[in-house]
Amino acid sequence: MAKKYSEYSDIELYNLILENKSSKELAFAELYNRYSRKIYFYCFRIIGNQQQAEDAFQETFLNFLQSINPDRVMTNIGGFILRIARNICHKHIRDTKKPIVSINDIDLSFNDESLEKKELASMVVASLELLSEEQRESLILQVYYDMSYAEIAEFLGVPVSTVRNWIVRSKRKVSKILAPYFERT
Amino acid sequence: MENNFDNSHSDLIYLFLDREASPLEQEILFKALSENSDLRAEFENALEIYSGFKSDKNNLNPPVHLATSIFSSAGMTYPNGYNSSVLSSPVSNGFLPKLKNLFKPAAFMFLGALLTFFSFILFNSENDRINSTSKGILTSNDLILSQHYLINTFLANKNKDVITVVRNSAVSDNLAVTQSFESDNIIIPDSETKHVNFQKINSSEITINNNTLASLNFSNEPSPNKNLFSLSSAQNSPLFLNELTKSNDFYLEIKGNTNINQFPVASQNFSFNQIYENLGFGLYYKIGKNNLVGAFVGREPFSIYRVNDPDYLNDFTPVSNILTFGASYRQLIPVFDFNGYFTPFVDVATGFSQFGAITKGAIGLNLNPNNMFNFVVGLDGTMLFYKFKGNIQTTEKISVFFNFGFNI
Repeated sequence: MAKKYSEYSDIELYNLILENKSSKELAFAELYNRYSRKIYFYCFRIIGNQQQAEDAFQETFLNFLQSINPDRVMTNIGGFILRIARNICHKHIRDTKKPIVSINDIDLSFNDESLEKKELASMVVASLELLSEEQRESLILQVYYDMSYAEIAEFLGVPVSTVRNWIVRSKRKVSKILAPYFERT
Repeated sequence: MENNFDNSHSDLIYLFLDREASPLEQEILFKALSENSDLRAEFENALEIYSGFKSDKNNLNPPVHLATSIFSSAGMTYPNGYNSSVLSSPVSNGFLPKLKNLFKPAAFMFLGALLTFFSFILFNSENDRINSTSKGILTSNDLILSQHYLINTFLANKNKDVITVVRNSAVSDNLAVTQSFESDNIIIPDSETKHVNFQKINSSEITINNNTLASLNFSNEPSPNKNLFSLSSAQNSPLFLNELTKSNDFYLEIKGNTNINQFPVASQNFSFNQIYENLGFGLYYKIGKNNLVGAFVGREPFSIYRVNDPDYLNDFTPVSNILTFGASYRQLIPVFDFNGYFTPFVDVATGFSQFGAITKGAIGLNLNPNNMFNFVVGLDGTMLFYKFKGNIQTTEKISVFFNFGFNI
């Protein structure tokens, strides 16, 4: 009995897309299904602007489709798509002069009543803006992309210890930014 | 291993929560937590931060329109309902999209109904009245043979029943028995065709029905202007004091069909096997000369979205033998009657299948070589409504049908 699409490996799905048969759309749909959320997290949190993030997101998957060719030896589809997303997002960041954000620009006003998780989440996300680019990217990959320190190090091409340093410092910084909230609650 | 970060107790909290702390680091952390209340507070704050990240992650989803846009830009079709958590089907979002989905079948049925209505109004000829008169005394006023009617009669002339044609050319209307013919080949001279009655041989009674008319055999093709243009008799003539037997109230049809195209287009190749695999039956009641209502049951091929295809290898799975049943209305359009052999018709039907509701509209040609048998060919469009993963899906198809029917 033939396998379900969800049971195919990434590489098998990639090969199905290559074969350009009736299965192409469904194979791509399965890959999209696997990586769309993570890529969206990445684009949105790296760029920080929804419209630009959506543009980058679409561009990522379209570039992925265009880059498919039988001569390319593919071993890590998820990493490949993420790398496309990273290049596109960094280009967006370069092309768009981001305003310098200081801690005073972040709305950290708290209600007297207990804050809901949504408010906490928005503050945590806002605090990402105050991190350095390396810290923010490594943190996003770790939190939103569920990558281990070693995987992040491999992806970014830096030592694992560097990644540990970036992530731990970024979280300490987020904790420091949110200190007023923690004191109130 | 290079260790260029401040491995303080605070850092150990994040390493531990990221599952990156070594057993030794965990041991150090737990010991410090048990002794230091500030560290415990920091630990709780770190948990809050993780909770905030998790909450943000759960609330962040790529909008559905991005998937549609990407697939469209790549020249591909958005696979509806592939995964409802990410690729949720547009038809599931609200009432209006569902209404939009119903537009095609509604338009389809409306067109069929319109065709039927106008054909009924325009072509429901006076002759229908004869057939609808099931019993009663026939008088000359009741039976006016139109030119068209006789052409039909003449062309349906294969029956070999022995019929006597009595011409009253030389006698009074009250006793119109002057000549009898037992032959299948009856010649009616042009000059003596004005008043013609029919009588079974050796019978004092006359029964006039469609079969009788249809069983006449002419050696020469009568000209509508000269032969049997009208049948007349004096009121209450003894020749006509009999019931008008209404013939062929029911019509049975054996149906076959095969798909020629379907929408959305899917790979379903024509198969001769389908001709034999997809058979059905229709039983119709004639409510008039040119209109019938009936019921049908049979099997038909459809391509259904991922039904019976657990692996989703194809968008549409061809299913050959889907049980269908329902009600049908057929309107013949005799104004386009091509010499009586071919009569166009429209047919609308609605019913159910084992997967869901179906609607049908058809146009066809009825070949009627005699009054008994019919060969029917045409095109029909069918819509099948069914549910897949909670969404209403439709499959539309056009098929050729080839039916064989006979009056019973």
